[in-house]
Amino acid sequence: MPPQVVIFSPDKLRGGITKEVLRRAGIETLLISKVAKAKGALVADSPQALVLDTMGCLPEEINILLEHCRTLKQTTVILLGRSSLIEAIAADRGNTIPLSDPLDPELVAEKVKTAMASPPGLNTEEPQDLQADLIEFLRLE
Amino acid sequence: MAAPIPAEIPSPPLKTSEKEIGATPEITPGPVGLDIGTSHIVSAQNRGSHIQTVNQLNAFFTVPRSKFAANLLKQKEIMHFDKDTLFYIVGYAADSFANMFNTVTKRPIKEGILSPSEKEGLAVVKAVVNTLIQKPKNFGEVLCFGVPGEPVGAPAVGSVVYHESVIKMFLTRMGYTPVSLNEGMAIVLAELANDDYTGIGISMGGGMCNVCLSYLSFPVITFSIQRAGDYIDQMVGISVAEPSTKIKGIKEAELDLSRAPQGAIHTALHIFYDDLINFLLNNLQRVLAATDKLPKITKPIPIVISGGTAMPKGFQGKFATALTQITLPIEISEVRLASDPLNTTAKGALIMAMTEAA
Repeated sequence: MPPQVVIFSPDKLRGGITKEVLRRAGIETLLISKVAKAKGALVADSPQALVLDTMGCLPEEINILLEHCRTLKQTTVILLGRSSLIEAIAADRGNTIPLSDPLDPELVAEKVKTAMASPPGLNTEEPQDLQADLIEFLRLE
Repeated sequence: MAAPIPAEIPSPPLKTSEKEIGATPEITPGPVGLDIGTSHIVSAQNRGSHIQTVNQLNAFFTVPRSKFAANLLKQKEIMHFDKDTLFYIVGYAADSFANMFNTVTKRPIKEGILSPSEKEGLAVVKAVVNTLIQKPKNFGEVLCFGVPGEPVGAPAVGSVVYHESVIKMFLTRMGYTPVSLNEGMAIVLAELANDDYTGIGISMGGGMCNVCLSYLSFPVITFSIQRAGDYIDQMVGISVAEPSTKIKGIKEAELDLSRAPQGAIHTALHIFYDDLINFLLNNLQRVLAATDKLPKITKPIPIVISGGTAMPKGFQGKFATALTQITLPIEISEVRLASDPLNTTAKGALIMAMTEAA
């Protein structure tokens, strides 16, 4: 089964710690440090969450991955790094959770669990009613 | 990078021994842990029911080459090698020879790394290591060795990178797959299994103190200071006009840091122990305050101290008291001494070797 969470981090320590904390929380992840591989994983696995660690990232790497995530409505992006950078990015896009430094691995795990419990794009407040939809569509009121 | 999951190791206590003069090293299959320290080199191997550590003095003494000397050294099975016009006697035997000639041994390692002033330093280290381990039974056997962290403040006497690389090269030529491990991290692996490998490991040896803050077995912060046991011996010796070898003897035999000192030598020892501890803790404070690598750690973490310099009675209490005088960005739960301070680094290196080999 493909991992439901992808971690992108060029920093071995931060990436490793995040992966380990999520593993202890029962979440299997794929840890990637190269942007080309990360793109491939996003396309192939359509993960429920992408933990994008901006520490040590080139600006182009961040842009490439975020652009890619625009097409993945089911993927929540959790941004890690300096608050000045990630809050600016998060303000510009929906479905993004900024968690500024210092790295708080337990908070990351909590946010990932929340993202996986209620994935974006699913309207949980209004249960789908197929009959009502068809009636509306066919204008049979 | 997968988190290293340290292998299980036998719970019985370490069995340790000093290398007997003339005894040949045993060849046992399995990973090896190696602590290449300024004063001693220690090897560790898992024997199933216990961990066997063996230590050898990391020192040498030279005598002029002659047939008489050659016969004597051969007869007494004294580990040595020859180069140019000299015999290099290595290990504890070197100490015996130095005492005979009323002088001191030389050290191939200074302040934790290969001494650039000792041209045959690497050859001596190789010879000492060869008294402890031989070529592995299985080619490519994993051997993990401790390396110091980058020194804070003053530049290193030599280079940590060079030290690590040349040692890796000769261990590879011996037939091992060498893996390096920060010495402070080795303390964490050996002593903090019950704390989720989260805490601060400090190795206080002869030439250097190595510090590692580990989070879930990841070495988040590592550094070293180039002051340790030898610094205390030298400074006390200068202060009271006594040879540092005499000071070392008194320090190891009699010193009690929990009692008020009596006499000039003990007073000076107390002073320079305070000096070393304060220097170490001030640098710990500086490094932690300046770093952006520290993750948020909600629970207090322990400090474990190891190494010969931490062994005098009362050291733990003195360290804990000094700690209360500084402010760190993380809370410390306790300060404790390693269960076997002289062999902890080798044991931690063995744990890493066993993990890598698994």
